Amino acid sequence: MFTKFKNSYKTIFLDPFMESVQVEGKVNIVLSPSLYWVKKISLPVKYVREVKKLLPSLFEDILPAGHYSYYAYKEGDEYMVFAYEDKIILELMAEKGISPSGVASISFAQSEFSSLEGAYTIDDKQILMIKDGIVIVVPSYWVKEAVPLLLDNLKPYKHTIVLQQFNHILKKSGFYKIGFVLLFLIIIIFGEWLITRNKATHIADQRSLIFTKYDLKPTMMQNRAINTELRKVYEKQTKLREYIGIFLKLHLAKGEKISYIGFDSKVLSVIIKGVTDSKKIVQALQRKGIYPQTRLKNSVLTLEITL
Amino acid sequence: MNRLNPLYVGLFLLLLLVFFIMKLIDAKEELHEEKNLYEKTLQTALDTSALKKAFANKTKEKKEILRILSHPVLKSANIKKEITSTNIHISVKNMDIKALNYFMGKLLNATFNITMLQIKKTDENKATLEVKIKW
Repeated sequence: MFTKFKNSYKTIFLDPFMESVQVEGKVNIVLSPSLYWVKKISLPVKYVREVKKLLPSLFEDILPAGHYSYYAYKEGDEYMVFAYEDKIILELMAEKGISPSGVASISFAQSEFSSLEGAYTIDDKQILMIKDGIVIVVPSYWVKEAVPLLLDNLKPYKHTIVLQQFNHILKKSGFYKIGFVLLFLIIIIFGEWLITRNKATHIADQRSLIFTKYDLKPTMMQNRAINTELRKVYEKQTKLREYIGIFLKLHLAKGEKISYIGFDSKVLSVIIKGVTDSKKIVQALQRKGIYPQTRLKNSVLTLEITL
Repeated sequence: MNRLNPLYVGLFLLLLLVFFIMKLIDAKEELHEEKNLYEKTLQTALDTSALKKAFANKTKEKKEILRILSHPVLKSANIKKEITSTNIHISVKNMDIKALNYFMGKLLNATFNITMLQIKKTDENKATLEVKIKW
């Protein structure tokens, strides 16, 4: 969420006793002194960032139990330090009909009104005034002369805060820890992604080299077709040699002799002469897994096997 | 002064993490496919290469069959051979059994692509032979 002070936005003084409002467009919010703790302190440090580290310890004695956020800025030689509960402010905003998404900026009454003089009425019961440099809210009967507080002409100050919506669940440091864990995981996953991509590219390159090394055709379809064709030749030639071997080792009966072996690229033909009973030969072949077509005529047995 | 909400930063980091996880899953799948493709290509290449060496090596087969035919055992067999660019046609009449055994032994133990074969017994120790080898 980007928050920006813009003069064109309506300004709302957020106070527990205010009436509910109907907000149209974005608004600037000025927090009532009853919504924060403030201290004006002198510290032997040069920069605000050094003060910010000390803020929890500066307030630890006075704050009731809760989840606080802190803010500080330099005013002259002194520092204005603040403590506030994001949850309480957010709940009050919700109660008064102000959505966090419709808020352009949030600032403290202390930083906005410290330069004002006199007393200003907030409503019928409360008056805003400055005492010892600290902006405070007092009952209206304390001060007789007060003028209405005009927020529309307010020139927004630069000290704005951003409410931590989940501060009561998780501290800012917790967010940072989760952020670092996420970032660490992102780096790991990103690294793994790069390595995996490199591996895939390397394998693709290696695959291209196979084409050159084994003199393959440009497409795998062509190579598969060649492979299928050669495999058919291999299987047919293997069968041819195996079957011829079986026929040559076949135990024939007395008088039976192989007189012809022929092969015409598809069919292996064998002629055995002197055969009286073809059954024994056929059964012997079947035991070897060969199932030929047989023809017995005038003691001549013709066997045909399609390869 | 613009300030970035840590929640949005966290959400952005979470989305970035999910994005890279998705990219990683895609890359892993791509790697798996590339590996499979590589294995299949290598298998096809090795298989085809071995089969080519065995059945589609014209020079080697031609040299081999001529070496077999020039063997002293076959010299007296009067072998006729006809060589073309795609095949060799061998025919022998009245080949004696010793030469036939030698020739068939060599022929069947080598990786020739035999497209035609005829062995016809003419008498007890003689046979006619016709073989066509394609390359």
